[in-house]
Amino acid sequence: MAPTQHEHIDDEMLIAFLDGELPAEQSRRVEQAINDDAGLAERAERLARVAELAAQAHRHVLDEPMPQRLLGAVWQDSGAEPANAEVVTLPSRRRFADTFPLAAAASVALVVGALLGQQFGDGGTDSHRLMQADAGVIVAQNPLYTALEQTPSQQRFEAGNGDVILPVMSFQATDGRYCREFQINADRKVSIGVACKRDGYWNTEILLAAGSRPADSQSYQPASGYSQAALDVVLDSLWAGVAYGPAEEKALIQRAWRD
Amino acid sequence: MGMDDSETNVRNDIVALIPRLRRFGRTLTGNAHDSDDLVQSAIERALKSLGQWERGTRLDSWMFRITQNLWIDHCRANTRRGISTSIDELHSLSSEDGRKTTENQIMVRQAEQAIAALPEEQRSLVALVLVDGLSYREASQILGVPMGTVMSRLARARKTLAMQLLPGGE
Repeated sequence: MAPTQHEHIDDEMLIAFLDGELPAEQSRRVEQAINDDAGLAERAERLARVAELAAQAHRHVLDEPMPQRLLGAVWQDSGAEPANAEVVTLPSRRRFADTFPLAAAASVALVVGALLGQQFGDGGTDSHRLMQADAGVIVAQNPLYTALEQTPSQQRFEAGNGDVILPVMSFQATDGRYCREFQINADRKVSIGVACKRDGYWNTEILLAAGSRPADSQSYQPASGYSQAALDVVLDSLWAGVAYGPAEEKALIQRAWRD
Repeated sequence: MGMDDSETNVRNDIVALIPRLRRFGRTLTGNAHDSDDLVQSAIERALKSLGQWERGTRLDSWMFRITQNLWIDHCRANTRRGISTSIDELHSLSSEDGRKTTENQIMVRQAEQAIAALPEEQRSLVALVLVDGLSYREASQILGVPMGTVMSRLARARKTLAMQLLPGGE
């Protein structure tokens, strides 16, 4: 085939073509030119590869737990009322309710109730130690580790000093990890969170405290609404469709949440 | 006074946008701390001026615009200060579940550094179009620049990145 005469394809046009931003007619012309011109094809390939790399830039940020100060900023001064927290229902909640019908309603009500009007103390106690699982690996010495590892959902784990950890439900995440939603009741405050296990480590995906210390300049006064919404976003990102029933969960506990 | 339902919905929608806003902030600022400061300021600004957001228009575009404007203000106030190299990201690479760092991951990390070194007006476009995947038109509306400018800046940015990341061509 004789070489075809093409208009000059500059980088702007080539890039717009690669990004799907050219009108159909123009797009066809560029495509034809790429087919006919090895040099142009190579340029296109390099520019496409750059876009592919850039598209992955900082992608891990999407999987990071949301910092509490950002969630706090969203719900700051919202005057959210308890009803707002209860209004938010998700498939995860409904499926959870199918599995543990009584406990579901009770636990949501408990969290909402406990979040109202309660503030953290100075945090210097053992209870504070429980909270230090915030977004990271939960060390084996942390009572939370033991509770996640051994306590069936909806059963209380006594963590000492009157603190109670309540695993809420268990499920397998979209990425295959075993995950558990839990509550920590410490010093009459309730925190809720989700942790997932991989390679032998429990890692906190999100931990929402009932309040923060006023001395902290990043502090916020959470309303009841934020917890539910933030938790739902995290659960949504992990949720693969079904919570484990009591029998499956028991089997997982027996084999230490390993495959 | 409580919020009405629509305001609750907007706040829920903002929560859902936080991961993308954080990635945008990370691309603009190059490090986690400045990024979260920026996103926090953007959330606070957005909530203060919720009345200016036209319901039915895209909340993500509006939030990106606020974030971008705050970042530009910040850059103007700190003209001497370049983008900081992010130690935390190097950390996150090495500690990624102890899994092997693949060649692709190294390339992505190099891409992040090359993007960080772009002139600010190119970097924000790369962040919106290449990293977040928005269209040229959406990017042009967010940044308030004409489509032609979007195309020429993106082309310059892509050529720079290609030269740095894929040596050997041209």
